[in-house]
Amino acid sequence: MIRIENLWYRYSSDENWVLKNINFSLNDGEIALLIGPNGSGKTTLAKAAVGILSSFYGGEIKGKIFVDSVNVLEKPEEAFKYVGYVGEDPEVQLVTLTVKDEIMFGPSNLGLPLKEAFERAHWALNVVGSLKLMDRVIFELSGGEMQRVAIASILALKPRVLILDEPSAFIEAPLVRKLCGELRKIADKEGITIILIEHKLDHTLKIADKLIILRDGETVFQRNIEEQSFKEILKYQFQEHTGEHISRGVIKRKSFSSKAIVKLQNVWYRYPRSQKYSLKNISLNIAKGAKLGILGPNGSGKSTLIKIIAGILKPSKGYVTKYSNLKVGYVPQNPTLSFTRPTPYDEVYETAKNMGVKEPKAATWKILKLLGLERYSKKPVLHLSFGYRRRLSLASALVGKPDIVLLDEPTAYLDFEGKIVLANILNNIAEQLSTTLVIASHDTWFISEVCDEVVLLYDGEIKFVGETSGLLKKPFLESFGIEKPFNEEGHY
Amino acid sequence: MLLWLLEKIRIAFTYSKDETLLAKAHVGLKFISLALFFIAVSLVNNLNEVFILATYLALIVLMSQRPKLFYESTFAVAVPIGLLGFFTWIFSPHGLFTYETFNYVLTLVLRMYVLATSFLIVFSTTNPTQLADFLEKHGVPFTLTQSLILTWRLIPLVLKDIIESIMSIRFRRFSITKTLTPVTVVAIERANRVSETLYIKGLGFRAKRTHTTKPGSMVYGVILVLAAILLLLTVLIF
Repeated sequence: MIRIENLWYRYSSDENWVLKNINFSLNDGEIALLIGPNGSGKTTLAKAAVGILSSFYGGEIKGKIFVDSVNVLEKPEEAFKYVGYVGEDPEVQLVTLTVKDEIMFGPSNLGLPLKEAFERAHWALNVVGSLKLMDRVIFELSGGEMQRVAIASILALKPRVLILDEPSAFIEAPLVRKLCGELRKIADKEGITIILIEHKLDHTLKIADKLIILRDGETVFQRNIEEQSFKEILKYQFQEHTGEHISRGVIKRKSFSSKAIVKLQNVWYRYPRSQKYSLKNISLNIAKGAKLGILGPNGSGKSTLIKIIAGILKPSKGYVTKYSNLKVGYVPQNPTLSFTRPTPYDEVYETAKNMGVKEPKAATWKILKLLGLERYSKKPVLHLSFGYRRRLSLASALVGKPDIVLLDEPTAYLDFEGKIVLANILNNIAEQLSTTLVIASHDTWFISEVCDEVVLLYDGEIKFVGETSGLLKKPFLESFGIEKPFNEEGHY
Repeated sequence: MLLWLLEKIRIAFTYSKDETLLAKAHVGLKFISLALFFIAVSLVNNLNEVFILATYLALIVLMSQRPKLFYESTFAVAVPIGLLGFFTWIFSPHGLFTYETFNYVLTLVLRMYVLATSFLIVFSTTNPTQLADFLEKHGVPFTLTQSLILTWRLIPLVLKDIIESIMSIRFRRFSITKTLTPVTVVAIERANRVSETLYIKGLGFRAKRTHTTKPGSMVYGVILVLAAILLLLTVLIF
């Protein structure tokens, strides 16, 4: 049981309260779905419950968080025994090199006898349906497998309350459904209270008992799920910001030139230390002005294909032919890795100068305006939210007027609103700058919103090439680990 | 070329879990033997002795039972050591084309090569948790041992970040040195999140931790130590 009473929090660097008088309680075995836009305070609330806010961020915290009869705010060093937290990026939550060591890390910190520590590890991996991963090395795991190991490593501590922050961020639809089923079982069998912070609502709504909506640090909605229909929930969550976009479907776009600027012929690629090929016999033409989506589940070879197109990786077999003097723009999965200057203006301006753009100042302002970054042009880049960092990375890639822009998982860490904004921006720039876009993503909705053409990759092989609307009609999508995009039943 | 090299270094530093003789060897003895070998390498100053020392590398490769590890480690160290050799040759006080210069450069290059390759093979076949548990049992504070594990875990990730960053900024015609800023920022952000994870998983709240691994086979460990002692004695005698 968890009970939060009059919880307030503000960071030491900020006068404004990030959490404002939060009150709710959950019984043993209950699952609550906590939703709200980016910056509404969901993760801060989770970090308060696990006792790391005051230890890591300082600031001022008021109120009480009871787990059973223990106020974890008074005993933050004991909080980990009662509240488990799984963050959104599984890679940083795995601190050892093997799955077995990782799962046993928590129990060994509790000083449990070896036998009990091992039994807990076995139980936790079994609960998330991943016993077969026990002898694997962390570096070999896919994003979905890492996520399940991260959850199991926290479950092994046997917390009374489990908080999962965006558990579906790195895993595809069939796995999300499976994970949701497993979470329901954990709650029912073990009596663990679960708080799910999530943007994708279709599967999570089916297993949740309660819905809590945060906006600007306040609980604006708190009710049992059965009292609300999905449409009402959706309306409540998005009406202020994005209501007019929700009903958008696949958009018809202008035709593009059939002239291929990049041509892949029977391309195979195998990474060193790997027994199998990541790409198998890929043949593909990328036409000038196209908006091509590379769709596929985690580990299907999307990023590898992007790197082959960019010329960063050389094919193990086969050929890549490129239009001479092809200018490439690349937006990495983590946009922060592309920033070399302190402010967005400097970043884009320096790139424009490097790329020999005539009138770099004017070009910089034009691209900043196009991507909605004018207001933040002089703000330190590290103070930007993840969504704005992504836009800045895109602005830097675009200012040199590349022939082709490659985006690797551009929707990672973005909420639904962020995805809508980015989709609009990409459609806009493709139209205005006549740039070829190649987008690797596992997000079918995003691909369907932006791309005219799509390549479906599965296990390194192309399973479909053609118009996006054609792919969406195919009945086999789910069997390739791909979810159908947004519909009235509520994907998001 | 730089990306190729970084990728090779990243691979060489990535832990490879195989049930090989080298992986099974007692972790403490394995590193003692490596330390003795390092001392021996630091003492040699002629080609004959370097070739004798190369038998240790051969033993490590044999015990690793995976020649691929040897190739990968060789690729990772070839360019840096090649550059070291080149500049030593260029700036040699004995002249460019003299016997002394060739002897000195070749000895230096081979010493560095056997040292670095042996280290990388041992590093990539050792589970750091095993080493940390062994050290903790012998009184080393857990803060140090956990730092060791995290270093092992994070080196490949940082190298991956460097590769991604170079890819991104190279297309924008920035100097490669500019990767230092974003990679440092991302490393600090990651370090902060990793420290939160350690807190959430309860590290350091109990004085006594449970050690979940065993140090490994004494027999294979003793073989490695004996080989290193033998080589050290040979070097000292000659």
